[in-house]
Amino acid sequence: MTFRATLALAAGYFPTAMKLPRRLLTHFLPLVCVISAHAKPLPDSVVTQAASRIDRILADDLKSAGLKPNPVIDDATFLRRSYLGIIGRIPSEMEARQFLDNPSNDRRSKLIDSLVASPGFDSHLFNWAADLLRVQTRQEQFGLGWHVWLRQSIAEDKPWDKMVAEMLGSTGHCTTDPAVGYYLRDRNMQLDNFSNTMSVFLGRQIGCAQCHDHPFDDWTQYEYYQMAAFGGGIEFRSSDAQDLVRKTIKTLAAPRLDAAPTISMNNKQERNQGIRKQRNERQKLVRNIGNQFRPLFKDFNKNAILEDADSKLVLPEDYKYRDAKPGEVVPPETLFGAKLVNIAPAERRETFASWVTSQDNPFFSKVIANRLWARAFGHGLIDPIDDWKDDSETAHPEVLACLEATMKGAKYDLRQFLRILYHTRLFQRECLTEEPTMGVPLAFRGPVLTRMSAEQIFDSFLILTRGKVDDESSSAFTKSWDTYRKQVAGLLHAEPRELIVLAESAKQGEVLLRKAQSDQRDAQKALAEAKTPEARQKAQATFQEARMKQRDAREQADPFKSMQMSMGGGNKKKNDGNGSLRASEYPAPFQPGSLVREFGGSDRQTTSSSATTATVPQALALLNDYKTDIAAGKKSRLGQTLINIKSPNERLDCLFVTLFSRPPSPEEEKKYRTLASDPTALRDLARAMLTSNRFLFIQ
Amino acid sequence: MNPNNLDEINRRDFLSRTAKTCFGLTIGGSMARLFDSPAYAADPTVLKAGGGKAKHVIYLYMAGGMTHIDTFDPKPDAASDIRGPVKAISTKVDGIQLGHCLPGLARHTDKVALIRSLSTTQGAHDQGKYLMHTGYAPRGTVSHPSSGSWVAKMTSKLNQDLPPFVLVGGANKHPGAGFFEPEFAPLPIGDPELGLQNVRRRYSTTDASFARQLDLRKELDHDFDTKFHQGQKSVRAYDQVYDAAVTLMKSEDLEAFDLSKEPEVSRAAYGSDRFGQGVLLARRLVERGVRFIEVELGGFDWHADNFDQMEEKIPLLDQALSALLSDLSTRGLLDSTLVVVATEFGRSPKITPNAGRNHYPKAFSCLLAGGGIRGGQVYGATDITASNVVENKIGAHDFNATIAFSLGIPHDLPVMSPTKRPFKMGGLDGKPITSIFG
Repeated sequence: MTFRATLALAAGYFPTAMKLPRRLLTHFLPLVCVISAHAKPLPDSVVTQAASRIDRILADDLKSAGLKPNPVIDDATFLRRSYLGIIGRIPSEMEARQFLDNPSNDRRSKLIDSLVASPGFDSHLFNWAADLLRVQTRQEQFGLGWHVWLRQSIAEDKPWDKMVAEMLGSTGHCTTDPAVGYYLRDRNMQLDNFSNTMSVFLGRQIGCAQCHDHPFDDWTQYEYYQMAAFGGGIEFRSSDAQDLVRKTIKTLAAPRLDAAPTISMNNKQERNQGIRKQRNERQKLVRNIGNQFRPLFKDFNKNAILEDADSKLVLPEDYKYRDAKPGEVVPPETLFGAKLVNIAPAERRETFASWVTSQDNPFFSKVIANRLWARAFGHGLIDPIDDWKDDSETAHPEVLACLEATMKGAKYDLRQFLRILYHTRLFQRECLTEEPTMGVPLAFRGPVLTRMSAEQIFDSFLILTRGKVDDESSSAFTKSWDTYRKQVAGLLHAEPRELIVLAESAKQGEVLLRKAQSDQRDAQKALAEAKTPEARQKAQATFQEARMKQRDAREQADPFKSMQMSMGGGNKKKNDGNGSLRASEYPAPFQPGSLVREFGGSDRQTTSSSATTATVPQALALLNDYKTDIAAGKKSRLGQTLINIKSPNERLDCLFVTLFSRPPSPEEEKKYRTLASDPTALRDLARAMLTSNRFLFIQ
Repeated sequence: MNPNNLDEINRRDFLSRTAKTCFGLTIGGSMARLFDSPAYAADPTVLKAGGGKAKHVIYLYMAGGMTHIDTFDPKPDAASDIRGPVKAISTKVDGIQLGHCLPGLARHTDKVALIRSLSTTQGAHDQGKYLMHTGYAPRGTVSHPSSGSWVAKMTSKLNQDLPPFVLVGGANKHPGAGFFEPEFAPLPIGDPELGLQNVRRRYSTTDASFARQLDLRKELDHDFDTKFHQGQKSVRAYDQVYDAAVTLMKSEDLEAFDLSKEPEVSRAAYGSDRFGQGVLLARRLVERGVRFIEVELGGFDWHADNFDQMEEKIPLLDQALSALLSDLSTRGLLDSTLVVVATEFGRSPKITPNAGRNHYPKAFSCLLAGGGIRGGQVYGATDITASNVVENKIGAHDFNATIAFSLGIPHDLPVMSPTKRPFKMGGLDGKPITSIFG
């Protein structure tokens, strides 16, 4: 339908609206950021130029290949694609009409800019980043801190290179440096963490080289260890805990040692003996107090790392190649980009962080640019986006080079970089009808057809059930995190006596834990040997009891952990503030069986592991779940709206604009007018629309 | 039926579908079987060699790399910095020992074959998991199908309403159907306690309403499908799952997914955790004709606190597996159900300063039971520290070939990918371990 026809149609149905002066209409436009911690946006001219350059190169590429770019999409398709692509949800009926009724020539570019600047952009980008980094809020306290840090970093437009450098260079306890969550995510698995770093930020799959020379790329196992050696100083424990123990010992030990008999200065032998005895006493005291505190600080140590200049990475026991010996220290050395050798142990991590995020790193800028391209257009210029080989090919090498330059020019501001991509002509072209072929570089005649992500579906349902949604981030996590930080700080300044009490309790917990484990083993044995159903039941009950005791004992042995449990906020399942929170504001990952997981939401186990594959449970959810029955029943907001509309044509129009973000075509109107007169039939139509491919896929 | 001629199968499918529409009605019930593809015939050579007894597979996947030396391949005579605090316990079968966290399984070793000689070169999780499931190392040019999808494709459905392949508690990165069409992808059950959700129509929805809703869906998508159906597998997949969902809703076998229908005693036997209940669900699905059920248990990546975590995690496997073997045996299903316990790699024999074990693909263990496997045996062996395989080394592709063999599927029958390259269930050149059968 042409814009003028739509306007005429709208004029017929919304006479009041059309009579309003334009300035009042703009009052309802999506929120252009007023209060923002955002960085200053790039000037419009810079953005248009950058976008045009990309388009020009792309056009040349296609022409040389004898291909024609796809035609430009209509307003309704553009509207839906923009909302979903930029802020991760469909537009509300009101938002849709505002755009479709906007007569100005630059409405498309204005829409892009206002969406990019809106809080919804943050929420949508956060999901992408959290998936990439595997952020989990349920995994210990550091997860929560890391989530808050990431959300904040995105909101304030922290440049990507700075974000990555902060994570790679982080150290200490998570309450003082929450970016340390990046390392804690793979606690005690430093090598796996390193492999992830290489693939996430530099697009290189080198994980296999951990165990042997890489068969296809040029990585040897030794080279893998050379790069991993930059993280060789990382120890997964807290120096704060160590300091606090030492301080407590000093305070507690002082009176006891003062009471020790003075050493007689007369006899040299006696004196030496006395000194030795005193030293042994002191050491024993230190050891005892240290032991008392060990269980208490177990949790502390789980949420911190420290950098030890004396700790170095060594080759594994079963290293079999001739170039070095098993157990040998491996000095850190870079293998591409800037050649860095002879690094002082204390500077390893700083050096690594700078090297990864350097403008001169041959992969850093390209990889993030390509990832964002894939996010905007459904497929990377280089694909797969996390496996760049030396001979990786793209159909558009100059576009890739241009993207790299653009990313650097935008100083790694992800919001502005994406804004440029959204301003390209490519973003307005029809989707390709054929899916990309694995292993074949894609020629971008248009973007790739994708299904809504699980989070986009979740957030779109919010709009459908509520009519509008608050795109702002929820304060629940930040509040929880602040509470935890205060508690930790409080504990670090606690009186030694208080600490001793806590430590005693923790120690007791450990004893109970060992007992519960042994009870469990006995019960297991009894269960296995049970001959009668009664005996089996009894053994089963004992087994369950032992497991529960184990759980309780674990909590007691780990008082910091139980502090988090009672915190609420980050770990509560139902943290949904009246069910109006977007998916990004929920604890991560979502639970198996939840809507987000059923639709392929990431389990945050492996990087970017969300999927959009069709499954039967998804179909069942859209067919039969009450939560997806958005147009039926008295409680349904949309249902109420439809009931209150008098004319069947208007009802149809409302339904289509709400669900598909476009009014019905003349044929559709003719076909479904009669349905719209009957509430049950209209309900069936609404249900059918919700289960349609048109709804699920983003054209 | 010539098992090498897949075109023949397609032709029969086409005929049966046409017959249904020609009669102007859907032939339901037992009549439908008249026109369906005949039950796949197990390859005669396989049958002769002792295979082809299994009709179902229950595949238990331990994600993260389950330590072999603390479970299926204990080394009581190794030094303490290798053995740790783990004791080896005797089992029902003389000469076979297990780690002390498996007392339940110890009473069922007469049913199992411990495979102690797995060895691969994939020591990273993603790659190892992929290799174990598909028999191939990951490549950037093709998505290989997982063993479950192979079974779904190469056998015929025993129950026309239920999916042939169900995945319980699977993590995101599962190879799924790979390049096979979507109908061979697993039906995922996230939480067995929740089961298959949303199987009942919404309240007060009449037959007519529901049918109209389905018709309207096709109508609304007419233009979209015209444009995208052929070129987009993702779109075809949605049409396929809606059809499958509607069929499933009408099935009398839906209650197989409903664990509340199982007696309390039985539920307790498997363990109240998600994994135990998932294994119970697998048994129920086998009884209704589902071919391949995979149940995943995660959290085996013990780089630190290996022994503490072992005490927590292994009992879950022990309880569920013992209950399953006992249950299948009692119900007379053990011969026709292949039980598999697999993992992506083992863990290093030398204990680290963190009391942990690192990834170790060079030698690790899996388990096979039922489906024609001769119980009470060990296949393959490692050296005194479980560091090297010294006898009968096999790889993931051989392992999958063995699964094929137990079902009577030819492990080396090539199926073409869309880019016209051949792939087989047994990987490039996997060979089934035929000696463990019969």
